[in-house]
Amino acid sequence: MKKILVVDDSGVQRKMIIGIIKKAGFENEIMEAGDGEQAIQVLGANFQDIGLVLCDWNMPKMSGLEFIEGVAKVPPVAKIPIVMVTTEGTEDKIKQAYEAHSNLAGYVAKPFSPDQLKTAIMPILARQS
Amino acid sequence: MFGMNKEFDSQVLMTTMMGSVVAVFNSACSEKNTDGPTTATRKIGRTENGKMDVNIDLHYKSYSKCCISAINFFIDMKSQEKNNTCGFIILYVKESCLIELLRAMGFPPVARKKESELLDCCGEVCNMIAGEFKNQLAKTGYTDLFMSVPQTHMRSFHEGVNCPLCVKYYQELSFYYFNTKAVTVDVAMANISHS
Repeated sequence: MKKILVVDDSGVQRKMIIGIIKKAGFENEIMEAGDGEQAIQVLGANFQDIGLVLCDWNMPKMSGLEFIEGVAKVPPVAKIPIVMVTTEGTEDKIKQAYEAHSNLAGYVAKPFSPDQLKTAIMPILARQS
Repeated sequence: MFGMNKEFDSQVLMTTMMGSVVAVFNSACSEKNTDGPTTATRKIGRTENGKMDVNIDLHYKSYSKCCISAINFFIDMKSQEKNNTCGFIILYVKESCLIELLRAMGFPPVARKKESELLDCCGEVCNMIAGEFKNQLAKTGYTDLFMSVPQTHMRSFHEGVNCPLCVKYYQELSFYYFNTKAVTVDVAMANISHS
C-alpha cells in the first residue's frame, strides 16, 4: 500500500487531515513535511513508496507552488498524484497551480469539510488499491 | 500603475472582511454569532520602526488575554520578496473562548497548556479568513493578492505588524460567540488596482 505525504506548515492542520484520512478508513502510512523544502527531501528519499501528496500553498522557506513546480520537472516523481489543500481559491491561483503541474490531481479549498477532502482523495487511493 | 499612496475604500474593506469572517465561521463552526458584529475605525499607532503597534489598542478590544495572529498582503511576488506590504489582517481570539471555538471549528482537541498548538490553530483560522478575504476581493475585480504565512503570539505582539506608511486607519470588526466578544479582526489596506 502506497504512503501519503501531507505537506503543511501547520502541525494542527496536518493532524486534522491525517485524522480525516484515518477516519475514512484508509490504512496508508502517512508521512509529514512542514514546508516545501522538507517535502522535497521526504519525497526524494521515498518517491517509490509515496502514492499521494496533499500540499498546502503558503508555507515558509518554499511554497507549495514552488514545490509542485519543482516536482513537475522530475519525471519519476512528476507522476505522483498531488492534491493542493489551500486557502488560495481564486481562479488565477488555481490556474497557476495547474500550469505549474499539468498533472495536478485535485484542488481542495480551506476551510474544507471531511467529505470534501475524502471526495478529492478517494478516487486516487481507490485506483492504487 | 495603481495608487498605493492612498487608503482602500473603508466601506468595501469592512463589508468584504465581514463577509469573509462570517463565511469562514459559518462554514467551519458549529457555533453561530450570538450578537453583533460591531465595527469601528481606529487610527494606526506606530512602533519606532514604523510598524503598526498592536499592543496599544488591546484595551479598546477589552481583551485582557487573547491570541493574536497577523497576515500581510502583497500585490505581487516581487513585493512579497521585498516585504513591501499593501495591507494586513490581524485576528484576535479571546483566550477564554479559544479552545471552545477551535473545537466548534472541527480542529483536533487542544489542551489549554499546549500553547504552541493553540498558536498554530489561531494562525490557521487567520489564514482561512485572510484567504477568503482576498478571494472575495479578487472575485469583485481587485488584484489577486499574495499572502504571508501567519505570525501568532499569545497576549501581546511586541514586534508590531508591517503596515504601508500611507495607511493611517484600520477597520476593526468584532464578533460575538458564546454570548461574549470572542473574535476581533483588524484590517487595513492601501489602494490596490481594480479591473
